Order: sequence, then C-alpha cells, then structure tokens
Amino acid sequence: MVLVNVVLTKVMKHIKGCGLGLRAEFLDDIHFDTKSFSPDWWEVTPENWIHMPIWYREKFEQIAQNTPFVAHGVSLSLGSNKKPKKKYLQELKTFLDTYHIDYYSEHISYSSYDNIQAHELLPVPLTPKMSDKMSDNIKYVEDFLGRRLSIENATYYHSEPSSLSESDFINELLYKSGAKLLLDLNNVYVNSINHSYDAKKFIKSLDLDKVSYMHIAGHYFDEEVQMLIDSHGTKVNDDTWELLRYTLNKIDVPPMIERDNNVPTLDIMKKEYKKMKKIYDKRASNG
Amino acid sequence: MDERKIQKNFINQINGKKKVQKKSIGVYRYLVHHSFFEVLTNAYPEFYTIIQKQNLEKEFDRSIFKFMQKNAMSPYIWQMPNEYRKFLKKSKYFKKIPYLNDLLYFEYSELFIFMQKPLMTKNIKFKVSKKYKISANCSIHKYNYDVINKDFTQKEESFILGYFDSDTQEVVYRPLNNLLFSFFKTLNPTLSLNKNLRLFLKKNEISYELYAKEFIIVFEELYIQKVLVI
Repeated sequence: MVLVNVVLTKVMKHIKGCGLGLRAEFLDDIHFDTKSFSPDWWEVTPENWIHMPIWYREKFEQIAQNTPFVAHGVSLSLGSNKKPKKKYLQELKTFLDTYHIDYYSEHISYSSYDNIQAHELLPVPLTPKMSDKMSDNIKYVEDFLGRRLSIENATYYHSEPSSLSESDFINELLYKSGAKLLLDLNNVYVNSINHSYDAKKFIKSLDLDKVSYMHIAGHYFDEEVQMLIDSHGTKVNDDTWELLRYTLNKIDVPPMIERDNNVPTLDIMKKEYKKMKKIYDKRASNG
Repeated sequence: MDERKIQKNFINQINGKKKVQKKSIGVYRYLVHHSFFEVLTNAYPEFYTIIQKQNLEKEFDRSIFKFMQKNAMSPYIWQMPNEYRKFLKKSKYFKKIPYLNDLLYFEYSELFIFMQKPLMTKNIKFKVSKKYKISANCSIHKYNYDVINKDFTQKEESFILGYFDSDTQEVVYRPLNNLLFSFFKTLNPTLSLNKNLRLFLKKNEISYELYAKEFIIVFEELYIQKVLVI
C-alpha cells in the first residue's frame, strides 16, 4: 500500500478521491455549504470553458475556488499532421494558470487534419512512425504549457492499417513521450466488444505504473452499425463497473465519471458518483 | 506505410470528398456530420426552420459536407456557426434566399454576445467631456431586412444594436436611427464624446445647440448598459 501511494503522490499529488465531469447543466445545483454535494474534484473540458456564456462565469469561478479542477481537452489533435496552434495553446495555458489547474489530459487520436476540424476523435494508424509524431507533439505541448500531459486511450470504430497492437502502441507512446496514461475503462470495454478482445487482458497488457487517473462512462448499442457507441450519454453499465473494481485491485489511482450527452440532474449523477466512491473506498480498505 | 496518406484518405471519406469504402468509416462520417448538424441547427433555429419549410434539407447537408472540407478551423465549437456563415456567403448554396446572410448574422450575434467576457467597469459618472469607445461585447450592424421582426418579405434597411443586459441576463436588440448608427460607426475613441458629437453634427449640418442634448441622453443610457465604455 505504501508503494502504491508513492506512485499516486507522484502522479496526481493534489488530486485525491473521485471526480465528476463538470457540465453547464449542473451549475445551478452546485452550492457551497457543508451539506451540499460536491465531488472530491471536477474534471473540466477547457474548450467548453475558455469562452463561456456570461451567466456561467461567476458560478464557475466560485466552483474553482472551492473544489480542485483537472482539465481534459478534446481538440488538441495530438495525432495530427500539424502541431497545435500557438494561439490556442496560449489560451489554454492562460485558462489552466487562471484556475490553478496542474493536471491536463488529451486523447490518443486526432480531431483535425491540415488544421481543418472534424470535432470528433479519429483513430490513428498504430505505427512506430505515428508514435514518434505524437510523442513530438506531446513534448511540444508539455513545453508550452509547463505541465506534464496524460493521454487517454480512445474508442475506435474503424482500424486504420497498423503494424502495432493497440496496447503496444500505447505503451510505446508512453515510453517515448514520458506522458502519463488516462485509462478510460469505458473505452476499453467498448473497444473490446466492437473488436472482440478481452478487456481485462488488454488492461493487464498496459504499463499500469503510468496511469494517472481513470474514466468511466456510458455507451449504447447502435442497431444500424451493430456496434457499441461511446456516447457518454447513458449511465455506466455493469461491465464497466466490474472493470473499475478489477483495475482498482491493480492500481491505486483516482477514477471519475464522464457524462457529456443526455446530461441528467446533478442529483442523479450524485447516485452514480456515490457508487463509484464506494467501490473506490472499498479498494482502500482491501489494500 | 505512409501515415499521412492513410489519414488524408480517411478524412476525405468522412468529409464527403471521397466515397466511403467501409461501413466502419461510415460510422465516423455519420458522427462528424451529426455533430456539425446539431451545432448549426441549434445556433441558427430560424434559418433551419426556413430550410425545412422550403424543403432544402439536402442542400443543407451538401453545404455542411463542403464546409467540413475546408472551412471549419476553430477548435471552439461555438465559433463554428460563424465560420459556416462566412463560408455560405462565398458559396453557391441557398442563393434562393437573398436575406440569408442577414438572418445568420443576426442569429449568430446573440451567441457572440453571450460568449463575451463580462466587462469589469469602474463606477465612474458619465461625462460627455470624457473619451469613450464602443464595447467589443456588443453588436452594431446594418441589415438589409427587418431582422428583429423576422420580416424578410421586402428589403428594408435597419440598424440594430445588440448588447447583454445584465439585469435581465438576456441579449437586448434595439433599432438605431441612421444618425446614431453612423455616429457609433465613426466614433473616434481618441477624442472626447463631446468633440466627436460636435464634429459629427457639423458634418451632417445639424445644429449642436438644438440636438446635442437628445444624443447625450442616449449616450448616457448606453454607458449605463456598458455599450459605451471608457
């Protein structure tokens, strides 16, 4: 347990416990008295908050003063043929500095090509050349932001021509770039069903010492394409909860719930959060 | 293995430049198009109502794909509608709708104003002898149609000021007359408001003594609303 704690301290030393994705829909229901619900930390998507509607700003700043933030980006496009634009990186850095956010994560994917945005996370070819390219982009971003990045394993519905397995690619990228891994267990589950592999074996094959924190979320089955779609629009399913228990038995890192679509009330999210917290706390007592 | 070629080929299938070769790539084509469609129809509800009324959905879809190929540059989704408006202005789409740009500009202005940082203004008394400028947080625009009343049946010049009203927490639109519009468009922030007004009235052969007071009443009100700022 002591050893595990050392790893945790190195990775997310100011962030402890469980997190929840902060959504605009929750703002009115967030209060700061001792009886009100608050997660241990909030995850915020900078692209949604760098510019925000006037009436959100005051509440957002109050929340930032009361609860730690972790940032999770969606448009950095680390697998793109172009480096992220300096103008955007500067806005991002100002945002992270303003709200004292030390931890920032992005995806193992690309969302723009030739600077044209797709606003969707697209699968990269899993090759050594691509991991070199992404590693260069990660280091470039880390130098600019003055922060170490965590990178998230993404879902993919289409496999590009590749010479490496997904886990080999992720491990190689972590090694080359020195980045940490944001392990998204829902993505592991969705990919394992869509591409017929064993989710637990996949998790075991990753360099788990490098995991900084974990995501769990919901998905749905699309009849038309006969695939699970990582929608972040439903509650977390039993298989993903089971993967959380499984992974927490191996590593001691904070988990959080993402919900981006069909966002329910904070009260409903609180129930899911409490379930996650119970699993997380049980891990500690087992240890 | 040429990674760039692979990625370019994939992107071209998603954005409609190339035919989709695999069902799994079609999933991405659907997801990307769907997110563009959602953002644009949410930002432009009136525009989309007209698209539906005129059975132009297919043309709308084609325009989205064409837009995705070259013109969606901002990492911020909220800026996508304005990129799309600029794209349409130069494109061949919806030429049957002559008031299209006016409508899109008007609908986007509300989103633009909402997304601005609130102004941190000091509580300083309004004085016409001071220098003021128009806040970057508001919209002053000349339209060729009566956009406020959504009357697009005939051309009719209108000058509209839009700003965020902090009391009601809403964007307020108010029509300006031609003179006020011209005054604001030519306001020189390096001169006092009074000097600006004198020069403007002289140029338009209007008596300062007779009409300055009416202008100043409006200026003071707009200062309180943070349309005029120091």
